[in-house]
Amino acid sequence: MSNALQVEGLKKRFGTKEVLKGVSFSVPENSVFGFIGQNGAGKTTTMKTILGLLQQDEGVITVFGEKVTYGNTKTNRMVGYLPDVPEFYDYMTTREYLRLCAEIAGVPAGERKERIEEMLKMVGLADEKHRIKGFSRGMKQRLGIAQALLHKPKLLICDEPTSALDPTGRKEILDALQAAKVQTTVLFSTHILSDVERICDRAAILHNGEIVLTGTMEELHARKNGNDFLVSASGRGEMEALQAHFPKFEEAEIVGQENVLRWRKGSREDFRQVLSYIADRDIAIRGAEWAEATLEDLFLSVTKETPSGTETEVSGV
Amino acid sequence: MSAFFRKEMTEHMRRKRIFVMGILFLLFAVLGVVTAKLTPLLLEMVADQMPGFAIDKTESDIWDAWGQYFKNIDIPLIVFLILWSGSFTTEYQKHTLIPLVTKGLSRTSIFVSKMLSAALVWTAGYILYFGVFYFYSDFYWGNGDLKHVAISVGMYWLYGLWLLAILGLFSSFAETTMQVLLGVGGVFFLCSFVEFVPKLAPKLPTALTGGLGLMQGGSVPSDFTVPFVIVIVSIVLCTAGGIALIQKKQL
Ligand SMILES: Nc1ncnc2c1ncn2[C@@H]1O[C@H](COP(=O)(O)OP(=O)(O)OP(=O)(O)O)[C@@H](O)[C@H]1O
Ligand SMILES: [Mg+2]
Repeated sequence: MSNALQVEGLKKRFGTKEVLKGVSFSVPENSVFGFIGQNGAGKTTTMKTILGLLQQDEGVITVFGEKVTYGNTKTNRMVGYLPDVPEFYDYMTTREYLRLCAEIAGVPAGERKERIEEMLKMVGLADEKHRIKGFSRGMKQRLGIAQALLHKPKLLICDEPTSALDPTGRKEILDALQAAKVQTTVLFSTHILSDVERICDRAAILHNGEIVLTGTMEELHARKNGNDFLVSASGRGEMEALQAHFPKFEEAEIVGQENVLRWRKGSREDFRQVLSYIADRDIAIRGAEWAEATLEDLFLSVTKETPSGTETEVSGV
Repeated sequence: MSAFFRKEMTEHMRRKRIFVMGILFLLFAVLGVVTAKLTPLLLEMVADQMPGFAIDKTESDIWDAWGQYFKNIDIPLIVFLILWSGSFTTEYQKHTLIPLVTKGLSRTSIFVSKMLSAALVWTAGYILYFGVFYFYSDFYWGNGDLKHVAISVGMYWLYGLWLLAILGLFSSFAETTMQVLLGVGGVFFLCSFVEFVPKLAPKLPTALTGGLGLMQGGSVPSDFTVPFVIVIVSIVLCTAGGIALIQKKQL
């Protein structure tokens, strides 16, 4: 699998403030890549540099193997971009604006109309006949997504695509991004970790100007130092039998419940083995619970205290 | 390229720039004729009221009229430059070019489209201004004695293009509309200042506003060779410079 986007050793400072201190990550083709970071972490800065809208101090960016240059960059032919606060020509209607975009992006004349209607329907603006002047932020964001996807870009870069949207809009847009994955590669930044869990194959966490964590969702989940899981046996005998076979189990002190075992920091594999052992031996239990640690826990743990210079590579990216 | 040019024309239309310029060119053409026609009459009335106030002329002639032509046109030109001064900078400030350049629109296309569409409006408006004025002055005074009409009138048109090219150059790097206006104003005032040196005045681009002398036969076309060449060269340089600078402009 080749890389749609590769960022290597990206450095950027504004005045004396060093915002990016050597950011490296890569986005494989046809994946949905979540770019996570706190406010001011440098997500927008990184994205703008990928689009040739900002000049980096150091580092190399390639889009499908082609190098990005500041100013006019040829790589933009392959890209669709949703800015963090999208602004359009307010004297145009949505259809006029999208037609302009389609012409510039080189959508064949015969396909334009159909494509525009398709996009407007997808973002829920099909019935909007008014000029863009007076659009709410969410409506502009929807139009922003439509213009970004209009020309079926090979790489779609969205800066917080769901930030201004209502819950329905958010679901629609996430579905659209996920569906887009078939023909395009998606890089999107966000603070909303549940969005990442929902649609991403991969993610990276940007913190203190560096990528502190990157990998596939499975790898990230595995990184969460495992999860606790609980098995409540139906009787004392069953509990002891389990504990004898799996010494990692300890008896949990839970008010109102007896014969409950806890396995701290277990992996999914551990959990699976326990369950299959229970099934094989036909051990009577009342329930088994996998206490899922969220991406949020992971985010909080890596962004809490990360001495600079310790990049945690999870995978072989 | 053509898509962005069309966007520019739509913008000029919907932001009422074309409407305002059309009205102004028309208004000042008519006003020029009317002023030339009425000034002697007004003076006569004043003279009748005030004994001792002598006037030597009671009829206006063709030269009064064309004097008005070259005087009145300044106002539409200034308004034109003001209306177009924010053409680039408002896009920089609102970041409206970003979705387009990230689709592969070249910055050269942006610059060239913007300048061409502005030049088109200036040219069309100027033709309207000239056409209306020519028609009425011919009707009232007869244009038969005019010499070198095309060159005299065309020189002012070129002078307008020259100021537009300077506006384009400043627009390619300025952050705000005010900076663009100050830049164009600065160049204009610099010229007005240098004009005080009698030897330099006929060589400056501002000399191209002196079409009246050419019409009257007081000067010949070759008198304007130096300003003509300077203007053409500076238009080329401003355009090339503007294109070069906008490539690295932060949008
Ligand atoms: N043009 C600029 N001049 C000076 N500082 C800037 C500029 N652009 C960004 N910064 C600084 O760089 C840092 C990173 O900003 P950036 O917008 O990339 O963050 P972000 O991760 O996108 O944040 P958010 O989640 O709030 O969108 C911030 O501290 C910001 O103040
Ligand atoms: Mg941002």
